[in-house]
Amino acid sequence: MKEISKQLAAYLEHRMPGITNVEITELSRIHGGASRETYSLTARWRDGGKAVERPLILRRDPVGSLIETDREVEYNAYSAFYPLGLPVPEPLYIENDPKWLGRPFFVMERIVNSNVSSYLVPPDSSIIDQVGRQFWSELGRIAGADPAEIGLADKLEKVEPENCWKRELTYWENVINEDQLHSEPIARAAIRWLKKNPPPPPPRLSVVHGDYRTGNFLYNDAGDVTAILDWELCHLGDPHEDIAWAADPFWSFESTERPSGMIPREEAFRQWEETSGFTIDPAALRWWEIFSMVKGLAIWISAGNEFQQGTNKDIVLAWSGFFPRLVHNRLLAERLSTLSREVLL
Amino acid sequence: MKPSMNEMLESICETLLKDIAPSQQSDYQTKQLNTMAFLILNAAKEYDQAADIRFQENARMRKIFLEASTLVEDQELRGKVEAAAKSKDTSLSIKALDAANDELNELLIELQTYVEEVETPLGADLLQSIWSYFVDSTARRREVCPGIVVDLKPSN
Repeated sequence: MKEISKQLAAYLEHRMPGITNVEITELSRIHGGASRETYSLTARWRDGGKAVERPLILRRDPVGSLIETDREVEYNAYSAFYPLGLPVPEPLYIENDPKWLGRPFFVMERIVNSNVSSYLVPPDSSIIDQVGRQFWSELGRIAGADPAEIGLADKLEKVEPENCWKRELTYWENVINEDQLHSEPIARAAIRWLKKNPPPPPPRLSVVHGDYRTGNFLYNDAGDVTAILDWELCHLGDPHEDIAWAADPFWSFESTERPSGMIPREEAFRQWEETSGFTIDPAALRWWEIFSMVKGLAIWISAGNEFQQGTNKDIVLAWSGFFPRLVHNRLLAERLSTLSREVLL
Repeated sequence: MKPSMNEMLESICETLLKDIAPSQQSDYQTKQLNTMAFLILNAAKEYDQAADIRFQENARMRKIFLEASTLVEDQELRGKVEAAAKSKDTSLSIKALDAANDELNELLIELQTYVEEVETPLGADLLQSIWSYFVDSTARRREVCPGIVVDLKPSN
């Protein structure tokens, strides 16, 4: 930790010429950041005669990752949405040169006086409805934003609306192909179903967060969502993808009635429709819900592979390759079994 | 063996959760230990049921292959399905059972892909057998609930 403090202090001096006496305190690693090493810290320095104190977050590339992602995707998303007033931390610096901290990283504002949302422990009952409404309406704002207007259209891979599903499915199928440690018959059956039953294209492309769910946002005791985090899977695509992922039963103790464990499904989706300007297409949503379980499986399979191969021995990866994989396999089997009985397979 | 392996592992888990994890100075270390405790708890459960789960799954898949052998017209696939239906587990080591399980699962993927294109009542019945197997096997492998152990985030 001392080494990181020293290195980061040198980096901040480099990025802000003229500041002196940079000191890093309260540096601690945040648990669970298997796709990035995440550190909480406070930086203090003198700027001219003035003492400055700033709570910061450092996100450093790990040796191996839960998902191989481009840090610039995440940083660009923060940069695009911060000026719009969407609750995201202010992005400060991105550094691709490993000479500073051994690996690439970026630095952003740390949101204070907030709680980390959890898929195991929902917000307090007195504020859960408010948090839930904001959770879904903020997702609606993301979907409703014009990617070109906010400067993301040129920074994210282009895709035609009718090919959104194919690109995403191909990507995650390839992850399974490359990383599976043993045969995955349920995932394979789901992939065949998804290919045979493609969804209708979205009316227009949206920014898709890619990992919008409980666990990836902060809220305060007044019931306000204060930060939407973890944008590393952000891409252009069909907005149903984010709804389906956020409503995946894994994030709500398998409840489909209250997606993400907060407000009822109908209210959640109505909230999203009001802020996004889109109308949810049930056929598209069903496709993306099944896709979400395949995507989940791919993430967990990939995590297990990282651990098994020894690329990254973070125990969270072992857990990811074990527990969520079992849950998603079971949920997918139940869902597809029901569909098969409806003679849809 | 007494004390049994799962009792020992459960005891280690309890010590980690009650004594060691709470005394850590950093939140990160505490949560890492909690995660380890959760995995140990599942290992304890696995110790008792791992061989049985795999043995039962392999037997069930062989039964499906037996059921399929009259339906499959493709000669190559039919040969594989018939051979798999007759195969047996010759060792109850987890490694051997896993290897057989993996092989049978691969063949099941091939069979299911084939049957999905067969539009006959027999084909539909076989598909239902395969889906029932998936539902049952995933239920049998049901994980220990992590909520009793720790709040975990798979990614951040």
